[in-house]
Amino acid sequence: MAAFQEGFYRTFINNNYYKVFLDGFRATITIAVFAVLIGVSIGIILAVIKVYNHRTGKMKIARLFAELYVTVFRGTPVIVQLMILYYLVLIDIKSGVIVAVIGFGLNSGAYVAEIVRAGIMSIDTGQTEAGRSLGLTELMTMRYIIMPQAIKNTLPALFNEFITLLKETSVAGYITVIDLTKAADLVRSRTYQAFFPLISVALVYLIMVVGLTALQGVMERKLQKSDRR
Amino acid sequence: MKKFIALLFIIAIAISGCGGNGDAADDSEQPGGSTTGKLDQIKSSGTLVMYTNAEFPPYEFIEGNEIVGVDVEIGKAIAEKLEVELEVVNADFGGIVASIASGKGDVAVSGITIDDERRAQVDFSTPYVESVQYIIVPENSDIGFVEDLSDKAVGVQSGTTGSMLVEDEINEGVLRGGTTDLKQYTSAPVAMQDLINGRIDAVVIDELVAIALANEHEAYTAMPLVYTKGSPMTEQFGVAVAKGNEDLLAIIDEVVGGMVADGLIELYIQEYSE
Repeated sequence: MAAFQEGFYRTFINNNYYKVFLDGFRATITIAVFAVLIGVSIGIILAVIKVYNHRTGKMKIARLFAELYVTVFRGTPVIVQLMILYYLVLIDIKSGVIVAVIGFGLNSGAYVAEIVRAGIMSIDTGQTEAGRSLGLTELMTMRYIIMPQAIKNTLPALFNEFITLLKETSVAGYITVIDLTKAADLVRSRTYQAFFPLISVALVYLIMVVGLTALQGVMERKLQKSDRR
Repeated sequence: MKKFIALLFIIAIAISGCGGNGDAADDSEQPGGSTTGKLDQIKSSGTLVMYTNAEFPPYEFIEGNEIVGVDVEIGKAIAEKLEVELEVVNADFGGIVASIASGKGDVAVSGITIDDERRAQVDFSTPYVESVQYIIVPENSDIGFVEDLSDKAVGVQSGTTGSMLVEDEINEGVLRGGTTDLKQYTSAPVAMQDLINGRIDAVVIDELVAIALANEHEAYTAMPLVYTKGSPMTEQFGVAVAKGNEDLLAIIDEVVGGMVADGLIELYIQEYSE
């Protein structure tokens, strides 16, 4: 027990290492939240472009771009994308966190695009026809009739993506970001004790994911309200 | 409610599981506890497993698909003396000492500076080289001393003494209260890359590595890292083995001592610096 306490002391209290963990936690949350926002925005735009082209045959170039985007970002490892962004493309951005937000956001966009596209495709075309015949524009139909239903259908898949993204941020250490995982790494390399840094970090990720799952449950229940007639 | 109870259950299992592991890990950390004769183990298995981080020229680096360098020559000499094969494992520098302490590898030869923090975990051979911390800066840089780093972005390799030195100065030393931005890289060459990209102002790393990197890039110079008052701190590299293996350590000391006395280390440093 004494060794247990000493391990805890050396990992968190000594040299104020808990601050390293807190900073890491902050970085992880920051990257995950902003990357999700970017990813969802990009994903919805790409999905709408693809579906629109599929149904009307218009916007061919935009669709080609969307195809290329999804192919590239889904076809290469996120860590390679991050390093390309950090060391080759976004050299003028000093902050690793910002590069990570952009990198994970761009990457996630490709996955969200496919998820949202599947959601839109799952809505009967009759819904679009009904919206159009009521005098709504193409865009309004999409915004007020199709999207609300599509998002509801895709919620489980979307949360799957959010959870994956949250955990994937653990590779941000490769581009000098001190995220939660890197924080554990740094403290471990000073204390030579692996147990507390690794297990505590694992628990924090687990708790965050459990929180996300709970949020998913709440949202699903709220969105289901309209189903009961 | 069911969900909540299930959740509590999982957390309870996780936590109790942790406690168990923790005790086990603590036991194995006792000096000489579980390691019953590394030397016999090596001889019976016929291989000496050497841990290193092959991004530290001239001590260890990758050539073709082989790991070569001064430290690999030391590993070869030890293996030869023991009459076994040498297996070189390329690992993350930050985890090497822990790997040796836990018995994953037999020896670590990776330009490891002998210091008290590490000596609490592993035993070191007699030193085979003296090194000082160097700093790589652009040629027109105004950085000359450690103190000049107080408002700069500094790159280091995670887990190295250079990283610890800057970290300690920021926390409780001459850089305390400054705005030093310490950036951790997986290797010195990657940090150098970011110095060229302009994201950081300097790289702190061991002498020969710094010189090797600065030589490759014209507009950069490497110089000893000194305080405004005082000289550079010399450090010594040693071979690390798990605690409680005096017999193995004695053989390593003999090999390393012989290589130093014969000038072999110097020769290899020259050879691999080219």
